[in-house]
Amino acid sequence: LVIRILARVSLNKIRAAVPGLHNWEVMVYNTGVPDGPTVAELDSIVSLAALVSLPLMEEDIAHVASSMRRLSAAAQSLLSSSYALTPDPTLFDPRR
Amino acid sequence: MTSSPRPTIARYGDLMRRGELTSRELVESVLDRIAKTEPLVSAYAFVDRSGVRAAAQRADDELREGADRGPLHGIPLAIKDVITTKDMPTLAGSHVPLGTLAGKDAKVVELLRAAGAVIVGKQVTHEFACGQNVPPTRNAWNTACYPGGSSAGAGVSVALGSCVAAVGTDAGGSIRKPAALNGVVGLKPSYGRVSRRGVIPPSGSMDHVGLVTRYVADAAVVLQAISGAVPGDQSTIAEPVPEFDAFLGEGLEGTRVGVVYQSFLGDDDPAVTAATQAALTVLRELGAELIDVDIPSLPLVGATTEVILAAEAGYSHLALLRAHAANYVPATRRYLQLGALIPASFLQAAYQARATIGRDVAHVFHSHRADVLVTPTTPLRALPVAEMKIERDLRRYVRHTALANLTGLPAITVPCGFGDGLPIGLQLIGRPFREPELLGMAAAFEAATPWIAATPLMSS
Repeated sequence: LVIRILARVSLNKIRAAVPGLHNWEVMVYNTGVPDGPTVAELDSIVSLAALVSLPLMEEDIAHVASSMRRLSAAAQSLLSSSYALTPDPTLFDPRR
Repeated sequence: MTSSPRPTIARYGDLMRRGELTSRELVESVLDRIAKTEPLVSAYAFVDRSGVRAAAQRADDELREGADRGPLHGIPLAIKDVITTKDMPTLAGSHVPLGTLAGKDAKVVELLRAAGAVIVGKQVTHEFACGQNVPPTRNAWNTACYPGGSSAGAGVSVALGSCVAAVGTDAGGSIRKPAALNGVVGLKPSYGRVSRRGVIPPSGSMDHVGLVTRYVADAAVVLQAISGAVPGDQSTIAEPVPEFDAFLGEGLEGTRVGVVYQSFLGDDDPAVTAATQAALTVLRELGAELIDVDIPSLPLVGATTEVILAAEAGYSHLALLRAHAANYVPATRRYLQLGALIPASFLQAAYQARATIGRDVAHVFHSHRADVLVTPTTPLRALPVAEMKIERDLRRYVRHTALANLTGLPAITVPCGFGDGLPIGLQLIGRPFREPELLGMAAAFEAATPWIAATPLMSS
C-alpha cells in the first residue's frame, strides 16, 4: 500500500503539509476512515493545503479528503443547477 | 411539566418600580436556579456571581435614585460564549487561545449594559458555534437529550429560568434550534439589524446576533435594546429602528400566511408534522389566511448553506488554524480545514444559488402578498445524545432554519406542542426588517395556545 501511494502522491507535498512525516505513516491516510479517500483525493487535499499555507495535522488529512468528496457532490448539484448558473446582476449592483 | 408561568420582563420591571422586587433579589433567584440545575444541564461556561450581584446592586441604587435605564433595568441576562465581554472570559467553547480577539465588550453587550441589563455569565456553545461537536449541555426537558445548538446554553437556561433572557448567535439556526428544542422563543432578526462587532465569527454573511426569551414580548424588549446601525460597522445596515412591540396584542385577522408546503414533504418526525399542522389550524382559527407556497429553489438550500458556512468559517479561522490547530476539537478543526480549502467555483456556485433562493423567496412574498412564511422550526425533536450520529443529525437539524440565514430575513420560533414530553417549535419567517409585524403574529399565536405556560419539572 505504501508503495502504491508513494507512486502516485508526491511525498514532498505531503511532507510540506505535515512536517516530520515518515513514509510508513502515509499508509495511515488510506486506512481507518470508512469509505476512505482515494489517493487522488488525498493528493488534492495536500496540494490545496500547501497552496494556502495551511498545515494539516496528519490525523486530519483523510477526514478532510472524505468530507471534501461529500461537499463536492453537494457543490456539483449547485453547479449543474439551472438556477445557480443564472448570473445575478444584483451581485454587482454598486448601490448595494 | 408544570404550569406556573414566570413573569415577563415587563412584569419584573413593574414589580421593581413599585418597590416589590429588587434586581438583587431577582439575581439571587437566578443564581439559586443555576446552583440547582447546572449540575444536570451545564448551560453555563462561566457564572459571574460576584459581578452580577454588584451590577444588580448598582441597578437597584440607580432606580432608587430615579435613574431608570428602561425596560431592561436590573434584568439578569446571559451571553453566548462567542460574544466578547470585558469582565468575563470568552472562550468560544474552545481551547484555542483567542488573544486580542477577546477582552472587550462586544457592541451588543455594551448596548445591554447601557440599557441596565445585568450579565449573569457566559453560556455554552458548540466550539466556535460551528456545530461540529456536541457540548456538555443537556436538554431542559430530558437530560439524556440534545439541547440544540450552537446557542445550547441559551435555550436550556431560559427554559429553566437560570436567566431571564439570553443573547446568542445564529448562522444556520443556532438560536432557533435550541429555543425550539427547549420550548421557548428564539428570534433571529434581519441581517444588519444587530451589530456583530465583538462576536467571534463562524461565518461572515450568514451569522446574526439574536435572542432567546421566555415570551415573545420579552423578545421585543431585548431586541429594542440591541438594534441599530453602528457607524463604521459593516455588519449593520442603516435601517430605522421601529418600536418592536407595535403589533403585540393585535390579532391575525386578514394576515396572509404562506405555508411552505415543501417543508412537509421530507422525512420529518411525525410528531413535528402533527404539531405544525395543528398550529396551522390555530392560525386559521385566529383569522389568518393560509396559502400554500412553493419556493422552486428550496432544494438548493442545504448544499448552498453547507458550502457558504464552511467556506466563510474556514476563511475566518485561517490564522488561528495556522497557529493553534492542535487546540481545536478535531471535528471542528477538520470542518474548518475543509472550509479553508473549498474551491472558488463551489463557493461562487453557492453564492449564485443563494441569490436565486433570495429572489424566489421575495417573489413568493410579493406574488402571494404574504406577510409571513411558516415552517416547522426543526425536523426533529431533541434526540437522545447517545443515539445521535453527529455528522448526519446536526446537519438535519438546520433543514428549515437555514433559509432565513441565506436570505437575511427575520425569523422566530415559538413553542407549538410536545411529543413524548419534548418540545416542538413553529417557525415564522417575516419580510425584511419587519420584525414588529413578525413579533405581533408570533405573540398572537403564543396567546392562543397553552404551550408557553409549560415549564420543565426541573425548573419548578
